[in-house]
Amino acid sequence: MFAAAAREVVFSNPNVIERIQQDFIPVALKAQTVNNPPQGIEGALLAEISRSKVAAQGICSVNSAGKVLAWTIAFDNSDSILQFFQHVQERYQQFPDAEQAVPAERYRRFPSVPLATAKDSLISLRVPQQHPIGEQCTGVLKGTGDDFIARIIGRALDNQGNPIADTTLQEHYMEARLEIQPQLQSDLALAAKSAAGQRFRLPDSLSQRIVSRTYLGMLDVDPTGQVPGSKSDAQQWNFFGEEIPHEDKTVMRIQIEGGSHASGRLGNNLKLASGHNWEHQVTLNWYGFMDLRDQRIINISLLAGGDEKLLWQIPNADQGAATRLPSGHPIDLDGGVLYGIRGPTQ
Amino acid sequence: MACDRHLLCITLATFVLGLAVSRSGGQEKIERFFLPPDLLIQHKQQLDLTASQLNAIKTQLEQAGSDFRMHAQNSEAASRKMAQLLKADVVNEEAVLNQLDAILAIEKSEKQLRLQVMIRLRNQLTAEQRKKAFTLKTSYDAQSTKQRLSDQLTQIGSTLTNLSRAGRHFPKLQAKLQQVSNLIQSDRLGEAKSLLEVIKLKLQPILMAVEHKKSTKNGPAPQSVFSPANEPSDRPGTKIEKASPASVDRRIAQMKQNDVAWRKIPWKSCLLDGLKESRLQNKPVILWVFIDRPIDDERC
Repeated sequence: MFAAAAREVVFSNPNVIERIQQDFIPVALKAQTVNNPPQGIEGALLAEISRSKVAAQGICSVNSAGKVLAWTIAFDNSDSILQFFQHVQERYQQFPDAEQAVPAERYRRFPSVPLATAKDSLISLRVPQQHPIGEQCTGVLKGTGDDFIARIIGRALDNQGNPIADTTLQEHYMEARLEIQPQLQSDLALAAKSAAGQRFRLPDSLSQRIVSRTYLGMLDVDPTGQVPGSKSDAQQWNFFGEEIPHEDKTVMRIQIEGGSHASGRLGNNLKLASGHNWEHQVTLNWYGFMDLRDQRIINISLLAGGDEKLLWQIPNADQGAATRLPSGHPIDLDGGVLYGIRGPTQ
Repeated sequence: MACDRHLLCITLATFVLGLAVSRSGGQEKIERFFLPPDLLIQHKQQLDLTASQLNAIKTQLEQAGSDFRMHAQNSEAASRKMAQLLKADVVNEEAVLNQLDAILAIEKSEKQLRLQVMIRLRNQLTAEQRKKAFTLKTSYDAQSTKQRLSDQLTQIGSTLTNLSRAGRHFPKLQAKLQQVSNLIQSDRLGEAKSLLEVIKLKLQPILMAVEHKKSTKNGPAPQSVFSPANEPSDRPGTKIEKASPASVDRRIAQMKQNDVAWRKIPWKSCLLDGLKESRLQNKPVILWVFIDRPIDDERC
């Protein structure tokens, strides 16, 4: 949730974008690597940054030696976001490197809820120009080469059936990757071959993969219940394929039609505990094409349209968005939606 | 950090611990010394928790939540890697055993974290609060069990209804389900649980047969995949009509927006590269530390 809220509230703010473009070097790091640094010089620098963190995720500024100037996980209000950038820039003027001890400021909420400042470890690490030979950068997105990668785009529609213009909130505009593993591709190829030109049911493994990625909103509200603590009430799909001619004889083109329904919510215990709640239902009709060659998907074009209901309730919803970054914003979506899946990605 | 996710993970952790109970009496012995976080928050007034205690509890949960999520991600990645190793024609024994070590290390670390959180939560309370909380826990456990059984009852009921719609009727199982409902109502939870297990055992082969039939079935599509309750309405703009591949591609291309605010920051993903630029341009680095992949144009 934090990542989604930070992207919406902080890093989509035009003033913040301009400020970062002008005055900062933006680096995005996975919490996994910051909290479990690898071996080597990059790991040592990450460990030094992680030492003063406020939580597993957050927004932080460091100087050129990798010394933390300040951490925060929320802001008093939207003005405080830019104040934070101003503040850390001033700190950078004072502590540009590791020539002197750099105390790390820590905020639960900037600037009104400071936490104890972390003293400098006084360990000065020599930052290399690049990764030493044999050391792989942890920032490289690792994918399995055999996966077929497609992109899903989801749009919420207004009452007239037009896509809502806003692209900042994920309940209005969503983009995500759809990775289809080789086994799922082989399952499809086998099902198509077995059908010998007749209409056939798509393998459940592939159908589920598609349905489980097709929803609006943040990761937490997966209606197929794959997020820990959530609950799936219904997952139904019927995708049917039929081979149709393709000009390239080495390509098997499958025309796809179908329907899907997924419904999920937060588990009961969590509702009581956190004051949060969500419910999500997505019901779609599908049409499109998949192309196969040698048991591998080489092309996907799928469209889906239907209804979606998403309710995301949070405690303290009256607080400003910058204050409640960890909880995000309330959502009450009930309307028409369109999805497109296109691959391979460029 | 995110309260929802923390509590979610903690409760999951408790649930997992609960699962382990059935396998190990030792786990059960340990679990009875701890207090579920949602119990503490739910009964904060009865327990007379101070603002600072409540804040400390929430902070603990906040700090642990993201860690649990990371463990889940690490665990999934490690299991995936193990599956890849085991798929090979000739399995590399040493690599598999090393991967097993990696999986066990993640599990150990997760269990340690879980225990640490439970200890810290417990230690937040005064002796009097602890005593009161453990008294409340008895009825809380019963309530949780009741809720869990009710959820299972609903789920199985829904499965039987779906089977019935498909022309397959199981009156004996329906009758047993009614018995379970009555037992839950009269708080005879142990008996309800046993009877539910019997129903699940009887239902399992039926569902497997249905699933097998579904997965091997060829032929015409049914009228609709939707039950009357969840058929999509006919809202404007949502109708998907048959079209040529080029037309489908065009429609998808129209959906994509290139001018998206969160793409305008040129995030680097390499810390060393960022620090090098920081020195060269004499600018501070802004770090965004996140779970998931928001800068890869990903849902987050």
